[in-house]
Amino acid sequence: MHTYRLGIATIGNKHCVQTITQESIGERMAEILLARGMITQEQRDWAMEVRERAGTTLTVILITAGIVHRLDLYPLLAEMSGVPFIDLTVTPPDPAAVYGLASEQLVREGWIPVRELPDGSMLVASQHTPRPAFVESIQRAVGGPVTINITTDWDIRRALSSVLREEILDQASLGLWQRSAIQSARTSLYLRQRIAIIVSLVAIAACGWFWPYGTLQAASVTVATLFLIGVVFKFVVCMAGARRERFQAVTDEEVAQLKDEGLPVYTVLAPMFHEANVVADLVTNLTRLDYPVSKLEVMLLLEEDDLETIEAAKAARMPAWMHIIRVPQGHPQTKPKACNVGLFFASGEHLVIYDAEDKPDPDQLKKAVVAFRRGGEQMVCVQAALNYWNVYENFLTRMFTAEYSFWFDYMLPGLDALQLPIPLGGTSNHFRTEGLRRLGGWDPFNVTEDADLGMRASALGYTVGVINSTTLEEANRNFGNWIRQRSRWVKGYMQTSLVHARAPWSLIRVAGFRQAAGFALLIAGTPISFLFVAPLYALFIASLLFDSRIFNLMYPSWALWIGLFNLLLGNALMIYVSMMGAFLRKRYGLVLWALLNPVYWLMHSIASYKALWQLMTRPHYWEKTTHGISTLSASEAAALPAGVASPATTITSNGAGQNAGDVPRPRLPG
Amino acid sequence: MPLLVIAVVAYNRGFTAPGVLWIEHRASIATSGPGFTKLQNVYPPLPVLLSLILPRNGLSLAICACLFSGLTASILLRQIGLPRAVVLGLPLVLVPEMWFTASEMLPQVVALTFLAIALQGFIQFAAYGETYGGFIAGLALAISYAADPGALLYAGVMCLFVPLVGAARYRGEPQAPFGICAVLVFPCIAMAGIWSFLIWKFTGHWPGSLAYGPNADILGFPQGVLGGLRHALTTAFQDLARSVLYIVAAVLLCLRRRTLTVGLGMLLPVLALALALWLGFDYSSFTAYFLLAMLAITVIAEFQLMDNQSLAVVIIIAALAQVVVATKWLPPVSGYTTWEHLAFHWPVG
Repeated sequence: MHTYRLGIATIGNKHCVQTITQESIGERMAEILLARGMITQEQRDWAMEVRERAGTTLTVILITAGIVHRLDLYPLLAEMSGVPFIDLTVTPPDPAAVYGLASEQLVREGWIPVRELPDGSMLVASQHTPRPAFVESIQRAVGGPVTINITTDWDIRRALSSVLREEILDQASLGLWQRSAIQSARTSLYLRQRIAIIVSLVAIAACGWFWPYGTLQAASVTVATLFLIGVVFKFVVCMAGARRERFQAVTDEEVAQLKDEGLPVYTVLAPMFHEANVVADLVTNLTRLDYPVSKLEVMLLLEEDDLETIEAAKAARMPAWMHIIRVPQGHPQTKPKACNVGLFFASGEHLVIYDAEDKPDPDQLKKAVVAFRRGGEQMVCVQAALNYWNVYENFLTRMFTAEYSFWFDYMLPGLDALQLPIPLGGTSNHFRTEGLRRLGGWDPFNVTEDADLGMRASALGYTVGVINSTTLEEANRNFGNWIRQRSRWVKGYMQTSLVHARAPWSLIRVAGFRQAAGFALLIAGTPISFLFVAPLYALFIASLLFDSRIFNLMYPSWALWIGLFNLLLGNALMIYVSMMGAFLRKRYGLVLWALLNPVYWLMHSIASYKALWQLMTRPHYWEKTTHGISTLSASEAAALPAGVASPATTITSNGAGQNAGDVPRPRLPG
Repeated sequence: MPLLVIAVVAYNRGFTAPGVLWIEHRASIATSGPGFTKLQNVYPPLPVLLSLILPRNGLSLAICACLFSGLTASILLRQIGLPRAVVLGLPLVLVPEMWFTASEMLPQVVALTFLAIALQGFIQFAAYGETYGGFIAGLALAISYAADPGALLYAGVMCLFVPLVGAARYRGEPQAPFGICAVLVFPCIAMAGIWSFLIWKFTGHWPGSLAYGPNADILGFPQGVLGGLRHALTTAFQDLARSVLYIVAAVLLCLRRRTLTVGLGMLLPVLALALALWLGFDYSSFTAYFLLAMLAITVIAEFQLMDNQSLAVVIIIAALAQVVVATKWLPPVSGYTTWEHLAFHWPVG
């Protein structure tokens, strides 16, 4: 039981009027609220019971439950503490007063200096009651006597956002680069990398000039061998994933055993940009999370110039435990930069990212908590599976779903089983917040910051795990939109490859050869293979049109066999794993659609050439994917025949059926 | 090990099985032209590839057959456990014709080995919904096709069994059986398509040599279409009659499930065998016997027919009866009589 001194906190050591316990503060507050008619007896009893169960303060419980507004509660807290209440929207802090202070401390401890008072003390606004140790800590930071006033947590966050704007922007944009430039994609190609690429291209061109036949053979065999290795690697990983099909990373029993009071505070980051049409959906979906709201901190990260989404968020009637964080405008305007801003303010022990259109399984946060507890301190992140709710809309949504089923249900569990690096998916990655800070947060210059982070974690000796929980997203149904999204992903993989290839020996030394090889095959191999798809298909068509004897003359038999293996068996194997992925998700209607994967891969190839071009011309440009373009309402999606239960789990699925009561998604022209 | 000894003894006494000679002949053809020009003559690719890798002396392929047979035995052993294997394996272990099959009929043994693997995966997949089993079943059938095109028929039979095996698992999911069938047959069909494409592309001829084995003559219908069908049905049911264990398993299953559907389902493999023979696949009474014995073992193990003591006694009697029937009435295949004589009779003088 903690003992605090309450009553006054003014100047120097002149505080400490009365000593009461945290429990008695709550009880007293509850009695006052009841006496003033601000809460009912039932609400009081409920709040006290929740406090007992969840182990949080009554202030947080009453505010997050929406029973009492923070502007009513904090003044009461101030009154009880015997200090004035200060409204920071009326009395904004003086930036000069904040200058030189550690911003992390201000965020962590929830206070901000406002201005110097005539008596020489510093007026400090705090969201907490002024306990002696707390006051002493502020005094040490400020370097002199302080006068404490109480204000709301919302005021503190808003004031910090405003006063520290430039610092937040600088940290979010350049924090990683300043800490370790070699880990940042701010510079795409180092000079030595440019030289190596140019020398290689010149050497190949020279060989082609002097020994055209031999060069063609060598190049073909190299490409074929790389493909072969890539196909075999993916298949082996996929089979390792399939073997773990029945393995539940976290069981329902383990989730049921969790007690509210033992749960950590969880921060949920939801970066959004020009997504006013899905804000309300997101709010609805996040309210379904099975986690005590008094321990949830949800931040909608909205770009400060995106007024439409900000207005939509304000109109969405968010619960009190959701906040809007305005992301300062500046280069680069990317999702990872927004996430870094969120990380700056995050107070949760764990943190998760959700996209605007996400529908996570309700028990996902709890599963992540179990996984973190089991994984030890080295486990810095766990990834949940992603899948789609608008599966049967058109060719693209079908193929996308089959692809994701294969990737998240076979590949990632396979990588996990083989202890290979796991490239994180764009959403539903859960972190230990402190671990994420130690890693340097997201790279705002990398357009697949998630994959990069997974690799960086592995390269630094941390582990990434997977959990048997699913987040449903909206599959891209529009070709142009798909190409934009995919080209960004491929460009991000290229960036990540270039970043981590800057110090390959260091990568091997720290992460080990196995991890480095896994990284090379997965992250570097993927864009390379996509780039070769179109030329190889062209070659295949040419082989159909021309006499095949020419191949017999040009290539040795063994080279032909490798080429044929890739073309025929390789393609067939990749189609097969895609079919099985669809089957595993019980999307039986998609099984035969997997046969069209060669067409889908050709689209990947087109996207990869766009990605390559952009890497050279606009490396940090974030190709925005438009969400909310599905013509299906969520309830229509729920009525579709196939179930979407996560594979091999008995989770409380957030499948289509769960969303039957959703507010219909706004219909936009197809 | 006993199979290896028999194979070596037979070889040392001058025996090489017609099937082995056939494969070695195909391997010679494969290496006789540039690139892929001889592809149409080298089916089945897996035994031919083994022949290309190993010394072409007749013994190497026989040893390979023994190794594959050992693999099959270990799969069955793992599936049903030693005590049951001792009983259920009697029709395979005590019948000399099966020793010949296991040590000298490489393509068939390879195909049956992968079929055994496929069967195990099939049960995991169709009955318990484990896609890893589906992977194994589909890929094993595809590899089996590389040794024997009859794998296409096996895949078809498995699909026909899906409603029987997966009925409980996929209740309320009407599309599930279709999905199961698609993922079961895709690898096999892909393999057939790939092989056909290669032949067409590199030789200009399709579908290549349909006489891929000594007894194969696909779509040849030497006894006429209807006459061939009559002969095929008669032969297949004669083979069924010699598979006492299979018949008993089907009857016991019908009694336990109180329905004839299961028993009718058990006729499907027999019809598939008839179809194989009618179409001209490399069919022999030995492989039919082997196949039905393997299916019987799988059914008995999967449906736990030996858990009941009285049923177990019936099954043991059936297994012993099958040994007797097979020893007396299993018609010999080409080369068997010579092999038997050379392997088990000391040379006189």
